[in-house]
Amino acid sequence: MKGKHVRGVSDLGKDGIQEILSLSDHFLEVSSRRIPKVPALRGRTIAWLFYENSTRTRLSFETAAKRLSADSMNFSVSSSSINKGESLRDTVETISAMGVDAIVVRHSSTGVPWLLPKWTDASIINAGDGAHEHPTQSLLDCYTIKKQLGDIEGKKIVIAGDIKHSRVARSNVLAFKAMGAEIVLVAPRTLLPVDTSSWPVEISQDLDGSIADADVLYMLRMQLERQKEAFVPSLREYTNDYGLTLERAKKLQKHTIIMHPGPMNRGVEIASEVPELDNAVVTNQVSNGVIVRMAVLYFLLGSGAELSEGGNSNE
Amino acid sequence: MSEIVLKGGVIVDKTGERHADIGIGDDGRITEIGEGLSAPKTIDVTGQIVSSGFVDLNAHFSQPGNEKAETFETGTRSAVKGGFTAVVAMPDTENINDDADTARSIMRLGETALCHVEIAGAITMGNQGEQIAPLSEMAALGVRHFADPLIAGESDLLIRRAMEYSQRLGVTLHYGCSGGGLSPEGQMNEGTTSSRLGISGIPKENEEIEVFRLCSLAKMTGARVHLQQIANAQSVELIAEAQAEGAKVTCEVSPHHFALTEVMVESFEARYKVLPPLMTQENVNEMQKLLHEGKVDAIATGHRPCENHLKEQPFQEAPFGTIGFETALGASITYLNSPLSAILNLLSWRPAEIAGLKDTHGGEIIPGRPGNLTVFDPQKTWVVNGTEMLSKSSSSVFEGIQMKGLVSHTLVDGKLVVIDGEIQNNGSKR
Repeated sequence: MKGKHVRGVSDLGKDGIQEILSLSDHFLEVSSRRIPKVPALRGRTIAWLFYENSTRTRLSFETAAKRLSADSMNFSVSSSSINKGESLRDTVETISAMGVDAIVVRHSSTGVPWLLPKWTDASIINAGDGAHEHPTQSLLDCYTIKKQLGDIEGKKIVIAGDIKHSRVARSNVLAFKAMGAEIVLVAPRTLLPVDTSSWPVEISQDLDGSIADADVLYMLRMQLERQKEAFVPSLREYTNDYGLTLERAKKLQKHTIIMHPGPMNRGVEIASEVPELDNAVVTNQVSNGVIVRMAVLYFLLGSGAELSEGGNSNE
Repeated sequence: MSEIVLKGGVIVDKTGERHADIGIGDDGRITEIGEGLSAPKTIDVTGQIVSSGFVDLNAHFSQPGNEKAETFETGTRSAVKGGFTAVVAMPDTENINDDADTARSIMRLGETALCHVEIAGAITMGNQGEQIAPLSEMAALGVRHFADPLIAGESDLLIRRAMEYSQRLGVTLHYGCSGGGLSPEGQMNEGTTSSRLGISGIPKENEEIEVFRLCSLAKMTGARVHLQQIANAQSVELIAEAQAEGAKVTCEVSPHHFALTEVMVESFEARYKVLPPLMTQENVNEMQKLLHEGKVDAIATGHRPCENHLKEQPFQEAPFGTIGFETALGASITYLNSPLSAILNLLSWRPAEIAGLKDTHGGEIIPGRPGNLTVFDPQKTWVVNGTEMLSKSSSSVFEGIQMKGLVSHTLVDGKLVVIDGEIQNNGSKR
């Protein structure tokens, strides 16, 4: 199958996710070469349209594009006409008029990737929209789980933390479910979405009671402002009840992996020592991020022929 | 002697339904009603309904201050095309109507309107909710309505004082019910959809709490209070209880709150961003039932035009609001399973009373009454296209929806301002 956009997990479905995961295996091999670069997307142009600050996601995408020999066009908020009050529509039409094949967009407002096709024919890749979706994070998380545990199907995945404001959690619920996992969301009521009755998940407010038989423990970043907004009385209390302390980490099953989308607040949702444990795979997630994003760009913009040619010509 | 005859229509008013022609004289009043009338200007309205003109209790014209979005002239072109012959203009403009000088100048601007406009003053200075505006000075100029569309953090005490103080002036206080503290950043109805989309929600309890305190204070003070754009069915029940206990409180509902649901937001189109927000299907069904049972006093559009480019922005950045005049009748006929008389009661007769205009609008169609009339085809189907609407804004929450029921002619003070859906060039009221 071949999609036009990756705006949300539903643009891919199970088949699309699986295709990207198997493409990722190929790009894992490419990335391990002495010169980890193929001409698969030579002549293709990708625009970065980041309305929200992002370092890691943008760098990850840029690295992926470079390894595929794509050209890129950077429209960062601080240095462009966006700051001079240009509308989203005008910006997108401008970029589009210059000729781009894909636009990677991050925006603080939900739904922006779905608005863009009205103004451009380019493929749209969502690098995070509000608290709604972050599909490439989910793809790299799926890839990481598959690499670490062999499969996603039937695994119990506990996602703990600020679910309410998390686009990572929303995309991951959809992606993990599509891949057949059992999902438990853990947070105090104030940090859970108001109505999850239609979500294919179990909800718990008790972290200790949920992690004993987990295969994956996925910790979310706790925004420090949440304390001021009265979602929790204090960060200390949050850490006591919902943080991954060293004691809690030691109670996990041996094979259980610890994940985090970054950036981490060490000492808040995750104790300082935990990312150093053998079963913490946070840096694997980061390196898989580049590989999976190569697969996503290739999935949307490439063709099978280019892949095999590119692979050969570089060896 | 009649100047105009509306020939062959069905007249529907408070007294019932009858086939008859209507003659209108050069003084703008109805001269005669009967069979076989003739006049220099005859409009064939066979198969159509002739009713008293609609009265909108809640309209926003953005003037003075934000004429890019709307003016009295452009807004009322849209209003008369939608069959409205009188509208109440809300004071939440950029230059807020909170003193006599401003009231005087806005009333002058209102003269550019194509229909009757009741200019509402602000209840508090600058709509800030801190100090009561000079209600008496404005009332002396003829301002009969005062409004606070958002009650921005207004204290119970200040509302009580305004209600007590306003009574000697014989005016009506209009309060919006969306300003509560449960949803400082809310963008849509709180529930399954908002949870899935990750958009901050506004719980329905936010409105209920406001309605409850306003009803309590209305009961306590005896003030004449009108509650705007009630979106939640439970709030209507609270208001009905307060009415039964003697509170002089009335309420309005906007067409999109009995027609459309929060599911529209899944498109992420800002045209569906309205305040109060679109609610659940269950609530829409309940609203339709309450309107049918007569528990709601009026249908009001809450017409709030936004510049088109602002409505192209991402959902969370775009302003709240939709245009509403030209879809009010169609939405009412299409979505309410009520007899025409019940719909006209909500669009014309009852709001004319609440607006204090019952001598000139609504009520009976009899010789001697001013010719504020609307002619419409209740069977005509059409598809909403915002760019064809006469408001400066084309952002309608009903875009692309097929409706039944369309206004063909509108008469304001006996002058034909709309014929076959077209504004007449000599249509200006004065």
